[in-house]
Amino acid sequence: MAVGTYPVVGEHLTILNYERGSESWPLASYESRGGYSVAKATLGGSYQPDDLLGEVKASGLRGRGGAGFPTGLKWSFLPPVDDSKPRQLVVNADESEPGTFKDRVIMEENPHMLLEGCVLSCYAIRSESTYIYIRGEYVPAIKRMTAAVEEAYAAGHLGENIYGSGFNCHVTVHSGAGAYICGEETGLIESLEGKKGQPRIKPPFPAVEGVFRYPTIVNNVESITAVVYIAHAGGQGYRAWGTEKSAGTKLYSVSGPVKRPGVYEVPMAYPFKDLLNNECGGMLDGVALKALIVGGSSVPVVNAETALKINMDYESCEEHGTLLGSGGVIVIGEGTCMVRSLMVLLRFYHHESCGQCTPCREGTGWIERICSRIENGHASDGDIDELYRIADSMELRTICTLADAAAWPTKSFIEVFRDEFEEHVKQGKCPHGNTFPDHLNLRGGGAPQRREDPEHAFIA
Amino acid sequence: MSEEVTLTIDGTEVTVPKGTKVIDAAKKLGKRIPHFCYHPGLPVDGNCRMCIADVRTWNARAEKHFPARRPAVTCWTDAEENMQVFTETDMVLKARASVMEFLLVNHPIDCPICDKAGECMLQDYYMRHDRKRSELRDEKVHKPRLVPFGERIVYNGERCILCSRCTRFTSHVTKTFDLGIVNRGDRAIVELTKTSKFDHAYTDNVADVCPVGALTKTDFRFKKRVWYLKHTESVCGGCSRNCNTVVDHDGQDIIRVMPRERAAINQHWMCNEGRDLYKTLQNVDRPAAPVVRVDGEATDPGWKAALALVGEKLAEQKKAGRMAGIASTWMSNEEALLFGDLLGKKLKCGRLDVKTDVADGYPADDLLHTDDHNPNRRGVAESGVVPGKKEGRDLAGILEDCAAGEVDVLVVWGPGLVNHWGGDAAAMGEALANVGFVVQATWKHDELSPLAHVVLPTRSWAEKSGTWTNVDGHQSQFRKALRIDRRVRDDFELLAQLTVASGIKKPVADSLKAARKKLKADAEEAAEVLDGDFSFPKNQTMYRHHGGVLEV
Amino acid sequence: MSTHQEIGGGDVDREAATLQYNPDPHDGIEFSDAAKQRLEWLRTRYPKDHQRALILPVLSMAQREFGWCSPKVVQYVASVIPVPVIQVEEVATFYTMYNKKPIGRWHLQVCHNLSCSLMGAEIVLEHIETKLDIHRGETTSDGQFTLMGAECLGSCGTAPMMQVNDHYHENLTLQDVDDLIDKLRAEPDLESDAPNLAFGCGSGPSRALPQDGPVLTSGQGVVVPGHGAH
Repeated sequence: MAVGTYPVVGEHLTILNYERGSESWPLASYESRGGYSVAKATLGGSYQPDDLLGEVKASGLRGRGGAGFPTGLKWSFLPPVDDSKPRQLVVNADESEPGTFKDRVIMEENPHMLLEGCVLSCYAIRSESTYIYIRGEYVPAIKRMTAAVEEAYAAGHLGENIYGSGFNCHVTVHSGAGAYICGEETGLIESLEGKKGQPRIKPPFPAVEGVFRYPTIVNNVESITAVVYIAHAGGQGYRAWGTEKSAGTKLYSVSGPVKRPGVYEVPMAYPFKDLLNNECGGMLDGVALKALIVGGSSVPVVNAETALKINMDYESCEEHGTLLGSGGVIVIGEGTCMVRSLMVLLRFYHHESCGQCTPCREGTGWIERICSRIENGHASDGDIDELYRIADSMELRTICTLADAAAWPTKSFIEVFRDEFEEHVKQGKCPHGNTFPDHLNLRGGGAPQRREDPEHAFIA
Repeated sequence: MSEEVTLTIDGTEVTVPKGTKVIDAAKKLGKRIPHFCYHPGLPVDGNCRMCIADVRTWNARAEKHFPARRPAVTCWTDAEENMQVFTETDMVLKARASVMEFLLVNHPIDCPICDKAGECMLQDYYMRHDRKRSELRDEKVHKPRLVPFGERIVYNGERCILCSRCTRFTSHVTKTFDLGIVNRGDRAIVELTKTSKFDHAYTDNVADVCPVGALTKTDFRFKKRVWYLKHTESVCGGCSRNCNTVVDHDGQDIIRVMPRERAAINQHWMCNEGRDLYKTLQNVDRPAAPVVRVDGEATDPGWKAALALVGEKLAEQKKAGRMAGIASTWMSNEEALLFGDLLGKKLKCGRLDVKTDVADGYPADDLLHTDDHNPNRRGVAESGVVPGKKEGRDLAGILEDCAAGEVDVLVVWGPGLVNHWGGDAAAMGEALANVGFVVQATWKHDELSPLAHVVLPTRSWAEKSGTWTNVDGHQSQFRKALRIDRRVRDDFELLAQLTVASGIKKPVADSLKAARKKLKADAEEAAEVLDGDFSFPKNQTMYRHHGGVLEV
Repeated sequence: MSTHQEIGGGDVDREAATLQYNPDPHDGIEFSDAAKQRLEWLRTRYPKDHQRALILPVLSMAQREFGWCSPKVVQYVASVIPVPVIQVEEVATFYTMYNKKPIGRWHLQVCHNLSCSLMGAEIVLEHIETKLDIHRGETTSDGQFTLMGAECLGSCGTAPMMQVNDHYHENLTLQDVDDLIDKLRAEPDLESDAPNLAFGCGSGPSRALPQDGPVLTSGQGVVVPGHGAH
C-alpha cells in the first residue's frame, strides 16, 4: 500500500525523479512532484516510528557513503530513549572521496527530498534534531540547502508540531572547512563539535555516544534521501531492484575518458559494462579501457578484463577483488601511467591524513615519497616491495580507515600493474614522460571529443 | 561495593573493578604493555597505537570469543567479564614493530645530543621490541627544532611523536589551555598559544610527561647524562603539600628534582618552585663545626665539649623551669618526637612550639600550592612539639617571655626565627638580649647565628632521612641523598646525643624505625611509602619516567 | 585542595580560561551587526553546554568578514564565543579552507586529484603557471591571483575544473582558462558586495584587513620533502 504520492520519471529513478536540467530545487517544484506527501502521510499515522524503522531494515538499504553498513541495523543500535541525551541525526554531506560527486547533485537539484528524508528518518529514530554537515567547498550546495531549509520551515515541513502531528523536526545546515577526514563519521562528529576532525576510537559507536555525547545516527545524503521511497513503497518495494544483499538503486558518479560522464541512478547489480556503454555512451573515441576504480579512490583498482565482468553491487565487487564503496566510478584509459595515478592518489591521502595516529601520519607521507621516487625514476629494485610492505603494515592498526584507504589502492595498483612499476625502475624514468594522456586534446586548443551537453554537468 | 570483572591476560586471570582499562588490569598482574600516549594521570587518547593487543570479547549468545574488528588499544578498552587478552602474539608483535618503524621514520637520530637519552621511551622500546635497521631511503620531514615555550621549556618538533600528553596536561590538569597541536597530518606540531607566556607554576611537568626529548627543560639541558645520576626518593619542602619527589644527584650536588607518583598528594606532578628549591642548597653559608661563644668570641671546642655544655645547661633547667624550645618546620616527625620528648616530657619545658622557618612565597592555588611555605608544621605538632598542658606557652608567648627576661635557656632548631620580627635582625637581637643562653642547631647560618651562644651544625633535608606530614595529614618519607661530613651532624642523631648529654639515660627512640613505631606512623601509608614501587635496586642507574611513575 | 581529589577532569570554566589568557581580544577587530546577529542565532542551534561547536561557523563568518584568519581574528573569534584561543588556533590550522595568510583577490584552485588529472588538470595548471608567471602555491605580485592545486572538489565528471572563490568553473579548455583570467582581472569589484555569512568560510579573497602582524603560525619551519615548506 503506497504511502504518499511519488512521480515515476524513469522506472528505477527513486532519487533523481525529475527532469534533469529543469529548475528542480525550489519547494514549488518539489511539491508538484508529490513532495512531502510521504512525510505527511507517515506523520499522519501511516507508520509508527518503530514500524518505519522496520521498513528501512527490511529494505536492505546499505550506507551509500562508502562503508555499506545496513542502515536499519545501524538505527537499531540506538539505546533506549533518554531525554537528558536527545538523539541526533547527522547527515554526512562531506562528500570528498575522489571520484564521487553524487551527493552534490542531490543537494543542488533535489534538496527537498533530502529534507523529507530527514523528517522521515528523524521520525523513525525519534530524533528532533538534524545537522546537515556539508563540505565547505560546495558553496552552491550550501546555498541551495540553506534556502530549502528556510522554505521548508516557512511552509511548515520543518519546525514544531509538523502537520499537527506533535512531532518536531529541526534542521541546521553546518559547513565544513576543507578536510576529507570529516567524511569519517566520528571525524565529522568531532568537527561538528568545533574541534579538529580527528576520528574517535570505536567503540563506543556514535549510536551510543555521538555528537555532544548524545546518541547519534550518521548517514550519507543518499541513504537518507532513499528513505523517502522506502517509506512510500515499503521495504519490500525498495527490493524491486538489486539482489538479496544489495537492494534498491544507487547513484554512481562516473568520471574519466567516457563520452558522457556524470551522475546516474541505476538499479543495484547493474553491470558495469552497461553503465559504461549505455548511460555513459562508451569510452571516448580512440581510448580503450585500461582500468577501473569502481567505488571511489579508496577501493582496489581492477584491470579492464575484470571491470567488464563486474556487476555494480557489493557481492560482485568483492568477488572480483574490489569494493563498491561510494560508487565513485573512475574510468582509466589506455596510455595512462598507473604509477603516476597512484602517486596522485597518495598525495591526496598524505594531504588529508589528520595526523592523530602514528601509522597513518607517518605512513601516508612515506608511501607518497616512495611512489614519487618510482615515478621520477629514482627508485631501485627493492622499492616496489618496500612500498607494498609499508602500505600493508598501515592496515588495521589505526583509529580510522584512512590508512586502509591509502593502503588498498597502493597494494592493488602494485598487484595488478606491477609491470609498470618495474618498468619505471628498470628504465630509470617514467615511460609515459611524467604526464597523463591529453584525452580532450587540451593542448590542441580544445576538446574535439567534447562531452555531449557540456552545459549540464550531470545530464543522465 | 563496585562491580568487578574477571578477565584473562596471557593465560592468567585477574579481577578488577568494572571500568578498569585493560592496560591497567595488565599492570595489576605486573605486565607492562608498551605505550607512549597513555599516562595514568591524563585522559586516554589512544593515538600512538603502541599498546595494541589481541583482545577477544566473550559473546554470551554465541558462547565463544570474538576478536575485535580492528586490533584494540588496551589503554582505551574496558576490561570485561570473560575477556581474553593476548599481548605477545605474532599479530601484536608485528603491530608493535610497525608502530616503532613509523615513529622512527621521521625521528631525528639525535640520541647523542638529546637530554632524554637514557630515560627515553622510544629508545627503551627500540631496544626491547625492535632493533631493526631503518628502511628509509627518503628525506625526513623537517620541523622547527628550537622553539621556546616560555623561559623554562624548549620544544623540538622533529623529535615530537605527537602523543598529545603535553596538550592534555595543559587542558585537563592545569586547565590553562597553553598547548595545542596545530596543522594536519605529518605537518602537525605542538604549539604554544599566542596569548600565553607559559609562565605558570606547572610548566615543567610537560617535559616530564613527554616520552621523548621533544620537550626539555632549560634548567637541565646539556647538564648531565642521566646514567651518571643517582636517584633518591625525597619530598619537596617548598610548602605544606609535600609533593613526593625524586632527587637526581651525583652524591655531592643535586642536578635535578622531579616528581614521584603519590596518588593522595601530588598524583604525578610538582610545581616549578619546588623543582628549583634544590638551588637554595648551593652557595650557602653553613656552619662546618660546632661553635661556642665565650665572652663574645667564637671558639671551636669540638662536639664532645659542645654537647657537654649544652647538656649541662639543659639539665639545670629541669628544676628551674626557665627554658624554651622552638622547633623547625623543616624537622622530620622523628626528630620532632625526640625534641618534644626531651624538652617537653623529660625536661618538663612548657614553653614549646614551632616557628615559621619560611615566611612568604606563592599563594595557594587549586592544584598543588598551599599558602604555608613550610613542609612539616603539622607533623612537628602531631609528633609532640606543642606547648605544655600545664603552664604551656606558645610561640608568641615564648618570644614575649624571652623579651621579658624570663627565659634562661632557649633552644632553637633551624633558621628563620627572624621572620617573627618581620625580618628585622636588630629587633630580634634586642628581644633575645635578655636570654642567658641561646643554642641554635641549624643547617645554615642566619640572623640568629651571630647572637647564639652555641651553634650546632646540622643537615639539610637532602642529607638526612625522615618523614613529614603534609597539610592533609599524609605522611611522606625522604631519604638521604647527598654525602656530608660527620662533623655536620644528623639531626636525629644529635637530638639523641643531646638527650643523653642532658642526663637522660635513653632517648625515647634510638633509631628512625623505632621512632616511627613510637609515632604509630600510619601503617598503610607507611607501607605504601616504605615498601612500594619506590625503592631502587642498588645496581640500577637508569629509570624511565611516567612523569612521576618510575618504571623498571 | 582535598585529599583524594583527582587533579584535572571535569568541565572547565571557559570564560575564565579565555579571559585570563586573552587580555586584548578586540584590538580593532569587530563583527558587523549582521554577523553579530547571526552569531546569536547560531548559539541557539547548538546545546548550551557545547558552545564550542560555534568555532567553525564563527571562524567561517570571520573569514568572510575579514578575509583571512590572522592571529587577531583568531583571538577575536575565541573571545566572542568564548573558548580558549588554542582551540581556535587548532581549528584554523587544521582545515584547508581557512587562510592562514592573506591570498590574492582571486583564489584559483585547480583540482589535481585523479579524475581531473586523467582529463588534463596538470595541463591546466602548467598553463596557468606560465600565464601568470607563478608556481602553484604562490600569489602574483600584483595581489590578484593565488594559484593552488586542490584535492577532489566533487566535480569529477566535468573535469578539468577549478574553483575560483565561491564558484566552480567546469569543463575547462585552455581558452576558457584564458578568458576567465582576463575577465577576473578586469573585474572592478569583488564577487559579492555583502559577505555570504551563511555559506561557510569560502576560499575567497583577503579584503578589509591589511596584512598586519605575523601570519597565523601553523608550523613555520615545517618542511615536507617533495612539497617544500608548509
